[in-house]
Amino acid sequence: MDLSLANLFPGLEPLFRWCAQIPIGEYLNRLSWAVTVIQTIHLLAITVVLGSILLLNLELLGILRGFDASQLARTLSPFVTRGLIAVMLTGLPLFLNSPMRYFENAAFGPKILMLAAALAFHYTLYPRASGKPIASKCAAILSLLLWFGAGAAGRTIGWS
Amino acid sequence: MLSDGRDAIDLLLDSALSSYVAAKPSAGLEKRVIKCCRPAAPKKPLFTLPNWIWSAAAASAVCAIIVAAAWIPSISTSIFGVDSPSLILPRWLESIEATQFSTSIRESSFFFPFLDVMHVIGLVLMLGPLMMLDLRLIGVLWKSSRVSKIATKFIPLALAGFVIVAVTGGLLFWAKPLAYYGRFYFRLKVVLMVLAFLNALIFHATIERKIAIWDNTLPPPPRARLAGVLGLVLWTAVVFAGRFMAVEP
Repeated sequence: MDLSLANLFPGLEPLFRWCAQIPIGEYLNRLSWAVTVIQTIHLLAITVVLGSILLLNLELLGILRGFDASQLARTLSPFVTRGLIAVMLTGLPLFLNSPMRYFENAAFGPKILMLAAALAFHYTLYPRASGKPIASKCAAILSLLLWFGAGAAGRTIGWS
Repeated sequence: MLSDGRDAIDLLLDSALSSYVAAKPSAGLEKRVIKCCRPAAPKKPLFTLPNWIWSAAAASAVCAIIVAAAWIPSISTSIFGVDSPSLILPRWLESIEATQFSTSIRESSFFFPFLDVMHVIGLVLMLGPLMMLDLRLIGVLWKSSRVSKIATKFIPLALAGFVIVAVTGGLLFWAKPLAYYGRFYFRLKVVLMVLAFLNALIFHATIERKIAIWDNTLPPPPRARLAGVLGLVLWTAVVFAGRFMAVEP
């Protein structure tokens, strides 16, 4: 089963070909450690985002007792947003380094789709679920699956 | 020691506490006072460490740095002008690599990548809560919650993540001991992890024992803030070393 974007959305190929023209790879590959440093900052930013998501959802599931839900959300939501900005700022040069490789990668497609679903869910339905006992638990489980699934698929890119 | 039996840290904490009491408590704390009718009973620690433990821990940190300088190949070459003796790979690494279990992990096209993915997921589970605790110790985040509450809520999560990281990391090392053991960044990572653990040990052994005094104090006492900064810096460095270790030829 090939879930790469090349297989799922072959019509996107011109977009990826256009991205491949951007000569950012030449600058990145001049320094042998540049890509590794950007990857590590990407990983640390993911830690901030997923750590905040984890705490928010553990509170919704009733595991992290003793915190005021609104205080928790007020403290963590800025970290989710800022962390996501950092993730995208570091992810973009990594992507532009070799767009065609990601286009044909079997793990990149699921990662992007799960990330898009997680983002859409997090900023639309997710805030409305708080306060309703059953809906909030379902929302927490779905949110954890989408975000951590996107993270796991992201690491799998290197192995497929 | 002063004449009345209190040391300088006690005086520092007293002055920090009185300045906190003089200032207006934040809204969150006022709410908390109304909510809980009686103060929480002081938790009896599982064990208490003697007072000299912090100097022992600091001395072992210095020793760890010296051993690291001799153990990490390129540092030992540049400082001492000799090759690290541990560059000769020990016999026990070869016997690990020869075991059936090690071979089957190494040659598995699914299990080895799976371990790597779980290692990263465990890292996120561990470092997310741990970094938030560090930020509370510095006095940046979670300012309306007590340090002891943040610690009791977040340390179990970090420990759960640590168990995943330790098990998957151990299996990854078990699969390729000869490849990893000689790498510069592997040794750097081990040394940085030892320093991070010593930092946590020093924190638990010294300033955390007086947590009842500074639980609500803002900013927290300098030693607690130092522990928070060191925790953030060391674990970030561990992540960098781990990533560089994976791409090292």
